[in-house]
Amino acid sequence: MTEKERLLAQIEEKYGIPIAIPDGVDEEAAVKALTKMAGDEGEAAGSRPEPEDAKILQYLEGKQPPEEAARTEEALEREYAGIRATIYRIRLAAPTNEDVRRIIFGLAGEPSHLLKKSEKELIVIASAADIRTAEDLKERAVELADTLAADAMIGAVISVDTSINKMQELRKINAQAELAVIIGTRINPGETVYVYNELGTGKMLYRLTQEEKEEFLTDTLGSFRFAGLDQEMQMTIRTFFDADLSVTETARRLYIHRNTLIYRIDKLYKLTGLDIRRFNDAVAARLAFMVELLMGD
Amino acid sequence: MASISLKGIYKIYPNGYEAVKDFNLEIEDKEFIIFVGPSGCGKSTTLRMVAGLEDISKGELKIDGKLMNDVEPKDRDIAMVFQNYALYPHMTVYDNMAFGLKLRKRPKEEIDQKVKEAAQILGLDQLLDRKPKALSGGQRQRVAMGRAIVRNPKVFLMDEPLSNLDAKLRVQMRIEISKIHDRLGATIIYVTHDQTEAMTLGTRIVVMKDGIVQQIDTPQHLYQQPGNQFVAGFIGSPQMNFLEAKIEKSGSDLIAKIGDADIVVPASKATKLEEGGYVGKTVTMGIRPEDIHDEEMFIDAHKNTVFESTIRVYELLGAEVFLYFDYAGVQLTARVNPRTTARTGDNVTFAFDMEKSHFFDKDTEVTITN
Repeated sequence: MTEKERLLAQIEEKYGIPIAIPDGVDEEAAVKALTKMAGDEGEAAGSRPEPEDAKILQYLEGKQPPEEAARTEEALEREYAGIRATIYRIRLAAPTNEDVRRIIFGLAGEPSHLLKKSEKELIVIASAADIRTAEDLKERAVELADTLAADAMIGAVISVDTSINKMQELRKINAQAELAVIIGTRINPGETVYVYNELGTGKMLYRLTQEEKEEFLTDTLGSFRFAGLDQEMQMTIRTFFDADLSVTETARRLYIHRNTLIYRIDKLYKLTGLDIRRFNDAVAARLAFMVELLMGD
Repeated sequence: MASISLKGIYKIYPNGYEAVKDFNLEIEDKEFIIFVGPSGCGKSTTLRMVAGLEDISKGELKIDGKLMNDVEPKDRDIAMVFQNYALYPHMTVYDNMAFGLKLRKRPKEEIDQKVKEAAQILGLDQLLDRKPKALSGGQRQRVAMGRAIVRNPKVFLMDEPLSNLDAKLRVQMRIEISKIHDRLGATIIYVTHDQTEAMTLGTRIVVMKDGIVQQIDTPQHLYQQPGNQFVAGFIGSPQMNFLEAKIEKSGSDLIAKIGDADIVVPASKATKLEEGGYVGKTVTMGIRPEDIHDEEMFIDAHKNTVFESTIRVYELLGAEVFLYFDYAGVQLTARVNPRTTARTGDNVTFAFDMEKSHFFDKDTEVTITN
């Protein structure tokens, strides 16, 4: 029995999942990855020690002294040599369990690390070798969330940034993925996946101080606040912005007559003095809408 | 038995956003219930509350009479199928379908029996040794269904499971899902934004908008007796036509002034308009494309509902023709017989089948005449 076969059998016994190695994968890389999954202590033949997950978590959070951080980064660089990587930040609706772990390892590809920040917050460093575009990455995140829901029966909200090929960027994409869910859940609650690069001006507006936000709202809207509108009006405004200020497209998406939509837009104008059919007013209204959602930090 | 009761269900996010408001529904055992509505209407959020993936902010959820609000999803005896349900790429079809049962540490013999039963139902029995990359899109979706079926749940929850498939495959898979429902006799709650899917699959449909239930009814009643303008416009393809109509008295008749035409309102609808105090007021009239006629025989028999317009677009779809034209400042669609001689640019006489018309209050958009 080869080392690879031994490790495959060990993993199947440990997780209850048969693992197959695709054709063409480098033998040494496969043994390294399988050794980690099997939880074998010490070095596998021909490999160097992998960074422990606890150290990686400290590294991501900037809690390691510089020399140790450099060693952790170097170890990750060796592990992911030539392979693009990405981070999935996962917020679970219930405490994590072994099912979650198995599902993540079943989908994340190799090499991967599952770091437990808390009982309900996980950070997954995964291979992005077969992820070519931002849309691919988002799709993977959605698949992961849906599969966790269906198989582990745990709700999950996942946030991502992008994929990288240099480990020194890992901390940055981790921080940005974390920010994606913080901002995203304010601006657009109820989504399953948040992508940092889709936040648009939300990223900039989030960084304003409370005073700056309040000043902007007062200057733009006076005493009016969007929160005082009913949900139908709020949905109308959101949809109008998403439809690039097209009355026809907005009416179509909302399944209303265009006259009804125009009536609502006129109503907003009377309340705010902003005609969102006009570009400058639309910009002001959209920014104010988002600033209002981001208040309260 | 798998009856489900949702009473006064709300989902309110920390920022105050109410994704679902006062949702009430009683689902009988073995029903195929559809939640349908535009994106953001709260249908998936409601499904996720039934699953236990989202907390219920207010209200009560019961399955078979037992309160489920604080019961873990894995203890609710449900199985879910999602649009983006990933198959484990390094596992065979057999292992993919067995995965959930292995997580639950079921005996090997039980797993083997259930996987093979589900594979037989889904026509996957010859594919059990294949890996996902060797499967077609439809086969992959069947494997995803298989993972849910093997659990033998009381309730299946499906969230847009066919949305990633092409149109032809969607039609095939709809038939498969319908057969699975008949064969398993399970209660199914199915979420879709596609009203055609809703109309063809469901025993009852819940139409939602902005987190609020608009109407709960059978497909036929939703189509023939929509409760408000939103439901009327959402259900039916092509969409119902809507026109402004001023209601006036003319002798013993009630007429709807639409553009240049004075259209006589049938007695059954006239009574409701009069009783509602709509004489002298402007209302919205809805008329489905198939209820606008260009045949001579119909027009002769309905001279008091006639109007004229110029055809802007003629579309032959084989078994039917769609004519697009403007009237009273609105673009209308008529679905007519393919033998029609009307073509683009022609000035055509049409007649409304007013027995099939609907009238809606202009402000509240609620149906007046149904």
